[in-house]
Amino acid sequence: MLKFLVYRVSTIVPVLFGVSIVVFLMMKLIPGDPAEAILGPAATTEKIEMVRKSLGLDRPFYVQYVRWLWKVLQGDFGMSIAVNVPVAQLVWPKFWNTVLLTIGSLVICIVVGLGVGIVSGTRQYSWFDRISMSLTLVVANTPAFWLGLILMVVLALNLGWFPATGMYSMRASQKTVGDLLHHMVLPAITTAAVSAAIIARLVRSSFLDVIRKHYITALRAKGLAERDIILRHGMKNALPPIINIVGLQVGYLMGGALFTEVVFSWPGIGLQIYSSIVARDLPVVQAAVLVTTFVFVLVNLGTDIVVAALDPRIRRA
Amino acid sequence: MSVANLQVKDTADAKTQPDVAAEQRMFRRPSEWRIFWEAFSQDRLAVGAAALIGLVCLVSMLAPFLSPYDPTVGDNSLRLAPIGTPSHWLGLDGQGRDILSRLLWGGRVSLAIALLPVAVSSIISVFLGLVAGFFGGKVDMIIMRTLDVFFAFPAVLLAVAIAGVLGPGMLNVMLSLTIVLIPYISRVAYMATVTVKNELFVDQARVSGARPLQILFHHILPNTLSPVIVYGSTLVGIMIVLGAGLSFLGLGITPPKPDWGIMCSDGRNFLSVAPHVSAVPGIMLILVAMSFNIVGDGLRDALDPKLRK
Amino acid sequence: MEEDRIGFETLEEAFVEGRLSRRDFIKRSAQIGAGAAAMAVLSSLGLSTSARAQGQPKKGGTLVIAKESELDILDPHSAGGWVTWRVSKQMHEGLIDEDLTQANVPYPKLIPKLATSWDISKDSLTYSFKLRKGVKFHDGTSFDSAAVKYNVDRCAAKDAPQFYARANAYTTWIWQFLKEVKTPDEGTVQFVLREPYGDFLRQLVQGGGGAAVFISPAALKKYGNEGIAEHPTGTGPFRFVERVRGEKVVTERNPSYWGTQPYLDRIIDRPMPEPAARMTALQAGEVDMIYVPHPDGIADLKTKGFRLEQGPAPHVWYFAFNLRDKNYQDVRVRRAINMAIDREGMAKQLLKGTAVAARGLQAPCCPSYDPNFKDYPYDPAQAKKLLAEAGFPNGFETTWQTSVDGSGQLIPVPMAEWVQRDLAKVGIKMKLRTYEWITYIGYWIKGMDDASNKVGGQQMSWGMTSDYWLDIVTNSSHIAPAGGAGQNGGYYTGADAMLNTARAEMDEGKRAALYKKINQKIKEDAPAVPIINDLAPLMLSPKVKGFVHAPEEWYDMTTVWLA
Repeated sequence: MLKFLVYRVSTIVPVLFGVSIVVFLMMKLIPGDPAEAILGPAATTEKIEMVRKSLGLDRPFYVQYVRWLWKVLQGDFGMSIAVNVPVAQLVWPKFWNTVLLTIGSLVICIVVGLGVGIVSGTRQYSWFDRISMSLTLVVANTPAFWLGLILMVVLALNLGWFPATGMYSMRASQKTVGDLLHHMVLPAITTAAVSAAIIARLVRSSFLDVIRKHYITALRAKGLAERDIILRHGMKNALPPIINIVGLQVGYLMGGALFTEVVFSWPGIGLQIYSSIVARDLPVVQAAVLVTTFVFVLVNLGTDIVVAALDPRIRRA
Repeated sequence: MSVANLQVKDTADAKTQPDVAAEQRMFRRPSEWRIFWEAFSQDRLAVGAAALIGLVCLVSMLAPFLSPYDPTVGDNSLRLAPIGTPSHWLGLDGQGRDILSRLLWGGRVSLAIALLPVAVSSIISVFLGLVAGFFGGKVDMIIMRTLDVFFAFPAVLLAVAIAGVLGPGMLNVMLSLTIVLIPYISRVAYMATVTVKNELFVDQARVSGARPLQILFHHILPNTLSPVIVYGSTLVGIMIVLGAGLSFLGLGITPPKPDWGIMCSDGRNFLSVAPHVSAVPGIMLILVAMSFNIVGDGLRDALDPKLRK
Repeated sequence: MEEDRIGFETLEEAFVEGRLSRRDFIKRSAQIGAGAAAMAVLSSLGLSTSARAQGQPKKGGTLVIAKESELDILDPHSAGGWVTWRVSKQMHEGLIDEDLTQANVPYPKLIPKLATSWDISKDSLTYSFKLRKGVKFHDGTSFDSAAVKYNVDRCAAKDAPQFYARANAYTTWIWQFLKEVKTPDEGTVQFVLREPYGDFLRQLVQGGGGAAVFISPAALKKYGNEGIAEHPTGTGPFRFVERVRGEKVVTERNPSYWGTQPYLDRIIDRPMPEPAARMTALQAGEVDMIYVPHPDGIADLKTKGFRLEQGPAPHVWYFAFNLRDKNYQDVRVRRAINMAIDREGMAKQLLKGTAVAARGLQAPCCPSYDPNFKDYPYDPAQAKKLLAEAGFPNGFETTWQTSVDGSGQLIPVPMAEWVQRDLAKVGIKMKLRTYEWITYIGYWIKGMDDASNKVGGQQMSWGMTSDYWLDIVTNSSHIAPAGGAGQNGGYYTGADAMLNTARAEMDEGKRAALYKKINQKIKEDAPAVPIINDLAPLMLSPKVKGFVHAPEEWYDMTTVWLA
């Protein structure tokens, strides 16, 4: 196990390096001059040169990369072009907002996904199974932004049960947990929907696999014990791939939350990436993508380790 | 948008790997296609879905002839007319443009954005997977480690970031999606190649004379193609949704060309007044993506000998 | 007279703070002969002398506003755009200001602010301002002539230690002819210009680019040129509380403000770039006021009880032509394009009455704007004829560009597509290039003939309550990219002589007449096609009262109260 751990952890270092290079290069390939962007309508050629120098844009690529990487490792992501504050100040609070949304979505995802999957899996061909399988098929293919719009119109605007935008009520003097949860419901459902549907289907097929295997032995088992065996074996069988999928879903949730955040104006890192792309604010996009990817890599590492701990076969691979 | 579906296929494939070898041995006989077709055609749902896809593709291709109106010209007096308006059965959008026409023309773009990146990426990925899997060693390490870096990015984020960096435009969207897909398809091709290669070299010990490149093209390539095709068809469904998402964000094609994503985004300003403007293209997206998903499942089941009669 | 004035000011104070009833206020104002002023005060507070059921203004409450884009930095010298200025203006003041409490005037009047009086020397080159006494910045430091000089030097004196290049770039048009700033004593400041600049005063009150308002020098010294944007410190009726990027800017009433106290306790500005999101938030009661509602959603919101406020604003949405492009060199082509576009149609059908067809290039709400100006009629047949005469019987192909959003941009893409369709009807096949706002600005200032950017036409949308704006967009001294700011991207040179003369004219009436003539010349030369004038639509919740939609692009929030 320890050997596996060491091996697995060591592989992420080159990956993270590679990620930083890709992120750095991506931004360098953008058309348009950041110096012009800063100066806007009042730019003149001499002012542009001044700003370019102050941004360090006159040095060769690799020098710029090393300087940038060194600063990043110290937590300095540079200054935002559009809004003249340190990027770190912009990115970290938004990141935690997305983490909150992701946790909420994950909870819904797991509870609904497991719940529907288990019930369907243990009651194949029942009306619940048929309906849930049709529904999950539809939901798994629903664009998150469209679902968000529908939920907003129906549940927030027309029925008024939930707020339509934002993370907290603007007028409240205090930020309360209740207020946060109230604002989180629709965005979390929107983000979780597709993943919940996928997990439900996966859990169901895992259970069906187990049931198929146990069909013969079940003939010999007694009534109630049969169900227990299926549940226990089913869960054990399903757990590694489920954890795997859940880990990957976290990546999807963090990326997919982007659409939700845009629709519901949830002040998370997805919305920040989107606004910064539109505003051509490259340092912010760089930092946001880097941070999100870094966390995604760590989460994947975590789930790999957990799955390996549960399933020895993988460790040997 | 089920990006994690991409990884689901990994686990599914891993489980059926021994069977892949068995089925691929069987594939060397030409009549295998007939067996496959018979199995597939038994799956009524998959056939239905395939028919729907075929219909949508056909109708979209014929959009210039079938479309009742110009999708970019609006009749402002009828703006936001609801579904069922005579001679505008799906209603009109915010600029008085016929929604049915825009749906037809938009289909060309939405389908192209989904199909082309998967196709191009598949070609590149099969090549990469074959080379890495077959030659192994350093080549394998270089290719797969590089792909691992791209794997590290959440797919949606990478697509949005690349599309954002490149700027709007159909070509840029397709380029972005192609880049995002390469690691995923490559991995599938790679695993298939490695599996077949191992099987083959066991046989190789008993067979003499065949040159490596021959093996590569005559034996390994065809057997790598089938998992890629299965995977690819599910990916098209996912790309339809992701492509629409990029257009929704304004990172996709530029107006006045319609596509289903932009149509959804257009309708945001009058959700309470005229929900059909957003709802109709959204439903279309769901139907088509679902169909590709079902076809993908059907292909996989039809190719899996365990499930055949 | 002096005593009268003091007496009236005390009365006004008392009335506004609720210590005096309306009737007593009128009675006592009449006694000191300040009747007309009293009426002005009453109407400026949204109360007329005839009973109107607005109710009594009351103090308190938080107003939440949804803006159409994120704000730029809160350094009023170094930021541009109306979105940001609407907030910065509540916190910072200049020597003079516009009277934004009047909605039904053709253009805002200039009123004293931090200066109590001013005069101009006989040679028109020296402006002397008497400064108001007892004014303090939000950080408690005093406002005096040294503070004025410190601020102006930051923007205009290249060798001053506090000089800030960015501020200089944004305030170009205000200080471009400034020779020096003199501070003979604490309460007096003098600006000496190099040449006569008729619109200097009107430029002092502008805020679309950098503004001529004052930041506390102590704060500037403490936080530096970059850091000041995080700690805005002015003299205004509202002061800064906090800012969370992408979420909100919070300002609150300044309890030690020298002038009339605002009613509102707090204002929260929320950037919400999606029009759909803004309207949703308004409908759900999450915000009280939104800017730039989408034209299609207005009718629906009105039926739900929300109020639309709009009116004339200094804003023209236009396309300029690339005069170096051979297609546009014949004036008949340019006139034909002017006749080919159905401006009324766009204003009524696409923009649902939130804009009106533009007449002439000069923006509304400035002294030289003429509402009866006769522009080209919508006549596609005549347009085709002119095109044929000019040698284009079958039209021609061309590429134009626009942004997809941005400050003051309305819904530029559908509007540009409308123009595209109108041009197609007369045979001109226009290909449309779109960019997001900041990228677009980068291309726009390069000029339309730049190697990276060859287009036949490009769109912009702005204006000022200053006649000089016309100069900025048509004078050859502003040809892109050279010079101060390349606003003349089409290389038009036809009105230079007239513009330079008008610029130096000090008499407002004569100057207005000169600019009117220039406007006429520009119509004849047609270097651009003005399309519509936006009416700056906003939507308000029914509980927002006292808001005055002045003929400007920003508003006085001290008159607003919540029911």
